[in-house]
Amino acid sequence: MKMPLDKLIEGYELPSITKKVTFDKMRTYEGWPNIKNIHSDDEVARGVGLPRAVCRGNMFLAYVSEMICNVFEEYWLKGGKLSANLLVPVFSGDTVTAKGEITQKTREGSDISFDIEVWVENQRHEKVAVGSASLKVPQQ
Amino acid sequence: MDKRTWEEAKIGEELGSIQYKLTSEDISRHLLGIEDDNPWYVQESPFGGPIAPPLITNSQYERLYASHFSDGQAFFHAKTEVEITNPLFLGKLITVRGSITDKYIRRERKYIVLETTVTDEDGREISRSKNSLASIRKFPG
Repeated sequence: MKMPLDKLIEGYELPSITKKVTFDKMRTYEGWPNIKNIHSDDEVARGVGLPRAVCRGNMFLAYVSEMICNVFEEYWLKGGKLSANLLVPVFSGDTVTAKGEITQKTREGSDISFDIEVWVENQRHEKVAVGSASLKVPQQ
Repeated sequence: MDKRTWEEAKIGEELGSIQYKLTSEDISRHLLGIEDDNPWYVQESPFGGPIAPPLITNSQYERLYASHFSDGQAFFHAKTEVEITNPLFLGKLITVRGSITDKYIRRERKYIVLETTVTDEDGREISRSKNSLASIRKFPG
């Protein structure tokens, strides 16, 4: 890990990640044109009552994962847990920012356990997703 | 198999399994979509070879649900709880197994909760998750 464990304290704000959601990226992610669904095709989306194609929740939850991985690296990629409620639809043209803050750091046996509050905001500062993550790092 | 609708789904119903192999094209597409340039997804990682981005299998509940039910496109992803158990290596055959663990109506929307586990061909658990879906349309009354 790049960041020393003693710097990762309760209240530490993880470096946020901001990304622009584009229809191109949504389509690439889904595998359009082979896959036409509510995330890659406006007509399919309108057919189920949406105004247009909606960004898949896992797409912007991946930004949360990236944010955590940037700090905790391999300790997120094996044993990490994420729980999130997706609150507001995200559409192409939105800019979303993944944010997180360490809320608890405790010793569990030979590991240090971290709890992280996570959320994703859009450009209107609406929380589009809120939740928590946790992981363990061996004591060094 | 004739597909059913949400109304016919049963709590506790096992959805069986689906299998597929994650290709480098799948990974590329995923990485381009989320703009993540972590080198561990394309070259050596602390786990050995390149690994898949951790949430890449978290949408597979959708395929499993859609293999049984015909209204799959009519749901929002409302909540996820996922545990990244082990990294997934490219080229491995993946098995996604799941079941319906809850079903209810709240604020005029139909909800369904699916629990899935993903394992690789060596029997290693890759992830386990619980995903809640909410109907896009409301059903008043």
